[in-house]
Amino acid sequence: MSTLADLPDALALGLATAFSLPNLFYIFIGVSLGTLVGVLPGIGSLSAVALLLPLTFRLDPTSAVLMLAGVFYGSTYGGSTAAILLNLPGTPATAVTSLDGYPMAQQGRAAVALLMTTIASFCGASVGIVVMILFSPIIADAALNFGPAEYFSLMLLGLVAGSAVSSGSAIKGIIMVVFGVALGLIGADLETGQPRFTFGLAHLYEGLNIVVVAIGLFGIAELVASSRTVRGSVIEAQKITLRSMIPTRADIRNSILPVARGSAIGSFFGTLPGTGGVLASFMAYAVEKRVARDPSRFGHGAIEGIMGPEAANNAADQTAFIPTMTLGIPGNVIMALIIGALMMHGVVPGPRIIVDRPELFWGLIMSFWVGNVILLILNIPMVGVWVRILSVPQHILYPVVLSLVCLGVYSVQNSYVDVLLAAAFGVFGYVLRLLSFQPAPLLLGFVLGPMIEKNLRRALLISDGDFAIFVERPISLTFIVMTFALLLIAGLRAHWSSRRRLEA
Amino acid sequence: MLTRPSSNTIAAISTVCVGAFIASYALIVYKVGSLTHIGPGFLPVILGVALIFLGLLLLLAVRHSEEASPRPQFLSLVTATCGVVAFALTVDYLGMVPAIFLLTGLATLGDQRLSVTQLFVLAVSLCLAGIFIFLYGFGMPIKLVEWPL
Repeated sequence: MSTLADLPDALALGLATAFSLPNLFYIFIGVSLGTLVGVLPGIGSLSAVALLLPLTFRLDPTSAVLMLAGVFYGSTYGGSTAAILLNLPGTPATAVTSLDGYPMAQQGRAAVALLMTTIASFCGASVGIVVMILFSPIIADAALNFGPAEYFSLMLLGLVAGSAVSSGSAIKGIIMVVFGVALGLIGADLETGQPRFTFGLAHLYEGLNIVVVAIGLFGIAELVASSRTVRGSVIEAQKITLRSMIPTRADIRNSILPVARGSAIGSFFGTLPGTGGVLASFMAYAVEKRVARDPSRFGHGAIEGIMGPEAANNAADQTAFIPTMTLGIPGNVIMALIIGALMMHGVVPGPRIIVDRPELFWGLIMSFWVGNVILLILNIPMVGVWVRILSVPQHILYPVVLSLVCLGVYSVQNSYVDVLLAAAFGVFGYVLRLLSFQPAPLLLGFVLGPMIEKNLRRALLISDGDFAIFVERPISLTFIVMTFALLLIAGLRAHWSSRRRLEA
Repeated sequence: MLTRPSSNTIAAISTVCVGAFIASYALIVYKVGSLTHIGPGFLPVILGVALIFLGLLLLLAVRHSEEASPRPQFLSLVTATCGVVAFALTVDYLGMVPAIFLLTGLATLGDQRLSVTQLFVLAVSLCLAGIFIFLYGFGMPIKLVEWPL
C-alpha cells in the first residue's frame, strides 16, 4: 500500500529510472520527435503517437511508455509554435493559442509569444505532475477494491464520455465507439477460443493490431485529408533571436495569474475521461476573457490569451495519465493508444501497476519532469529550426510521412498484410471523415472492447446472470448514473442546438 | 424528384446495415450463450442491435442537422492507397527499395508540384532514411532489393 510517507522513496526510484542513460535518450527522442510532428500542421498529437508507436515495440515497456509520453506532450509544445507563427495550430489543443498568438506575431512579438508560451507550458505541466504525484496513489488504493462490475461501469462511463461529450454529433460519436468495440472483438475469443469475424483469415486470429488501425485511421486518412491544403505564409521575416524573446515587465506581471488559473483548469479537465487539452484550453481562454479588466484586448494579442490556455493544455496532458495509469481507463484517445501499446508489451495499466511495476509508474511521472525540462531547453533556442521545418512544402512532407507509415506498420509484425489492412483503414477513415464521423472514439472503443467484454463476463458470472449487480454495488451504481447523466446532457445539448438552428 | 441523399442519411443507413450484419452474423454463426455464461456471440449481438438503434436514431436526427462536409480529395485517396498497396505487395518480393520507389511514385501521381527529379531524389533519400532507421536502428529484417529470377 503506498502512502504519502513512501513518497520520497517512490520519487527516488522514479528519478533513477528516468535518468538512466538509455531512458534519458528515449525521452529526448520522444519529445523531439513529438515537437517536430506537433509543429507540422495536418498531423496532430494522435497521429504523432500513432506514427511513432511502431518504433517503441523493440524497447522494454518502461522505455516505450516514456518515449510515447514524450511524443504526446512534446507535440503540444510543437503545436503552439505552429499556432503562433502560422495561425495553423499543429494540434487541436493549441487552436486557442492562435487566437492571440498569431496577432502577437503579426505585431512583431512572435519571439516573446513563443518564449512565454513555452514557460506557461512548463508551469502547467509542473502543476499537472504534482497533482499526479499526490493523487495517483490515493486513486489506485481506492481502485484496488474494484470488482469486474465496477470496471465494466467505469469503462462504459469512459466510452460514453469519450464519445458523447466530445465535439460533433453525440449519436455519431457513440456509433463510432460501438463499432470500435466490435472491431476490438475481431479475433479469437479469449474464453472459448472461437475465432470471431475473421472470415477465415489466419492473420486475424490474433485480432487487428492497434498500430494498423491507428495509423490507418489517423496517419493515412489525415494525410490524405490535408494533402491539398495550402499553407499560409510563415512569419519568417521576423528574426527570432534570443534577445527579441525577452518579455516586458507588464507581460510577466499579466501572465502570473492566467498561468495559475490555466494550470488548475487543465489539471482538472485532464483527469476527466472524454475531455482533455482541447476543452481545458478553451475554458481557460473563456475564463481569462471573463476576468480580464479589458476583454476587448483578446483576439488582438493579449498575452493572457495565450498564457492561460497554454498552461491549461499542458497541465491536462500530464493529468490525463492519472486515470490511464491508475485505473486503466484512458483519459482520451491518445491515452487509449498508450494503454494499447502497454498491453502489447504485456503490461496492464491499472491500480496494481504502482505495486507491481513501481519503476514504470514512478519512472513515467519523473520522466515528465525530465521531458518538460528538455522541451524548455529545446524550444527556446531551437525555434529557428522549427520555423524552417514549417516551410518544408507539403508536397514533400506527404510522401515522407507516407513512407514512414508503410515502414512503421510493416515493422510491427514483418507483415505486408498489416500494411494492406492499414491502407484499408486509411480509406475507411477517410470515408468516415467525409460522413462527418470522428474516428477518435472508434479507437477508444477498439482498445477498451475486449476488456469490457471480459469484465461483463466475469460480473455476470459472479452474479449468476443477474444484471442487477451493476446497480447494487454502490461504486458501480455511481458510474452508471454518471453515464446516464452524460447521455442526458449530450441529448439535451443536441436538442437545444438544433432548436437554435431552426429558429435562426 | 430524387435528390442526392445527404451524407447524414448515408451514414445512418450504413450504420443500420452494418449493425444488422454484425448482429445477424453473430446470432447465426456464434453461440450467444446464456446470461450466466456469456458466449462469443453475446456482445456482438448487443453491439449490432445497438448500431441498428443508433442508426435509426441518426436517421431521425438528420432532419434537424445538416453539417457541411469537407470537399472530397478522391484523387489523393486513390493515389495514396495505390501507393501503400503497391508497397505492401512488393516489399516482400522485390525488396524495400523498389517498394519505396513505387510508393513515392504512385502516391504523388497527379501532384503537379513535384518534378520528376525531385521525386527521384526524394525516393532515394527515403530509402536511405529507411535503411538507417529501420535496418540499422531497429534491426528490422527487410530485404533491400531482391530480384526474382
